[in-house]
Amino acid sequence: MTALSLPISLLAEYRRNLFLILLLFIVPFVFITVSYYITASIPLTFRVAQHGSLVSVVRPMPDVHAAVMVPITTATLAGLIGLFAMVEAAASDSRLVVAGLPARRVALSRLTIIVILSVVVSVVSVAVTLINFRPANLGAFLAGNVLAAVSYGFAGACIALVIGRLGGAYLMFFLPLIDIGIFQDPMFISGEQAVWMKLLPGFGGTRLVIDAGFGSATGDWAALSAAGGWALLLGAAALLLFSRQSKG
Amino acid sequence: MSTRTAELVRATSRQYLREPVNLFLLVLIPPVFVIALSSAIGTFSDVIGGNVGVRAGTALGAVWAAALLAGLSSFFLLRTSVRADGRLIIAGMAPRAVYAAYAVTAGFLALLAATVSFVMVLLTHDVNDPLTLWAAVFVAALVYEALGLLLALFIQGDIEGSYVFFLAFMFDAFVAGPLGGGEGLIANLFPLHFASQIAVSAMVGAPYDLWWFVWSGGYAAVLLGVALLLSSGRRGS
Repeated sequence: MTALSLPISLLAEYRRNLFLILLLFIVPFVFITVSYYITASIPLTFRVAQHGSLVSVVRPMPDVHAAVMVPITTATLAGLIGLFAMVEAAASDSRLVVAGLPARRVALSRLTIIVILSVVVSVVSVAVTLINFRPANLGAFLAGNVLAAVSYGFAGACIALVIGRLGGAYLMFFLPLIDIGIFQDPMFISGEQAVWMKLLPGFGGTRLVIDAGFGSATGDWAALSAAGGWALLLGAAALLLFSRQSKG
Repeated sequence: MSTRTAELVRATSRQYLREPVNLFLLVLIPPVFVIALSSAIGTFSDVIGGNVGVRAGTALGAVWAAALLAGLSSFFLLRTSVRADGRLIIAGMAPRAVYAAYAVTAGFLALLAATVSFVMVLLTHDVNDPLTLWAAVFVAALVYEALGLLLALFIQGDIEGSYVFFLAFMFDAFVAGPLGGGEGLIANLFPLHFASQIAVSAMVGAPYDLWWFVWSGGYAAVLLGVALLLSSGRRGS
């Protein structure tokens, strides 16, 4: 059995679910496209990273909305995937461990599934926003969204293991909205963000998205480190929690 | 309410309280959401074509927090217990009585979420008509509670259910409500449209039509009635 065979077989339950696959396309399409078209076409001044330094730019509000709605969408959808994938896993995967599979391998398989579905959600969401908005640096724009999605996917997994289904659903509906939808959004927060806002999981990914959307995003190491750091930290926490619970 | 339904209401309440973190989050999230959103909504409304100030935005934050929490509570309470309830039905309990028990329990949670959200608004802003604001937030929570019960009948998966909820909420909040300046027949048909209008009016002292309350209450009653009716055909498993 190869390293990927377990996640691939566990992924089958999602591949068979046509309704879920439809929703993975419909929700980003509706959410991002509607946001673009309902936004008033007025100019917004905000700061982006341009070749290593922060500069002020003026862009139409619908473009800013189209860009920032992508990490809001990917983080929320991936967070809910992480939450419920892990709720199900916590109930069923301990049997795999009892049957002899190493707990860490089962945990890694579940986290791999969360990463795969987060990437799918991000690719679909970025493709949807490309209908109306072209980011300056598409690769970095996609990377920022994937990192935001993976971080929240892992956050959902941790919350599932600590809090459970209902409390987790409460949290995963509100956390991305408050973090990315308010505190990381240049439409709400003008100028320099407060330090505590930069410590939230959505900061790095969203910063990268905004810089890549409207600046160059080259040399945006602070944003990349923050986003990668949160993804690694939350992934490690989920791995540890799940391995412990599976053994128990 | 029959004795069996009353017993199931108590059992469902005990099930909810068995994980106190759920109750803690139900009480914690509305204040955080209302505070975080209150200043942001005013700015955001200008962006998407509405005309909502900070005070009105705070009222909308309360409506959304209470509605979302009530809807999620009813949907997941029902989804979590689907197997156990199937056995109750096999054992002779009427499916409609099972659903009625969840409606009552989720109704208590809607009342709690609405009251906490309302108190947060009251503590942070001047409210022109507090009683009407509380009633509007509560009726919004009841509408989403009924929506959650209805969705739980049709949608078998947690992820799918939460995505549908997310989609419905986004239309309600950003397109059909006062935030996006939603008006006309289609906007009126969204679950939170009139409850949001009443909440904003109560907050700032603008006139509102009593008919809006009747519509919103009727909306919740119809959704609940349809859920109870459809649940009658459910078989135990």
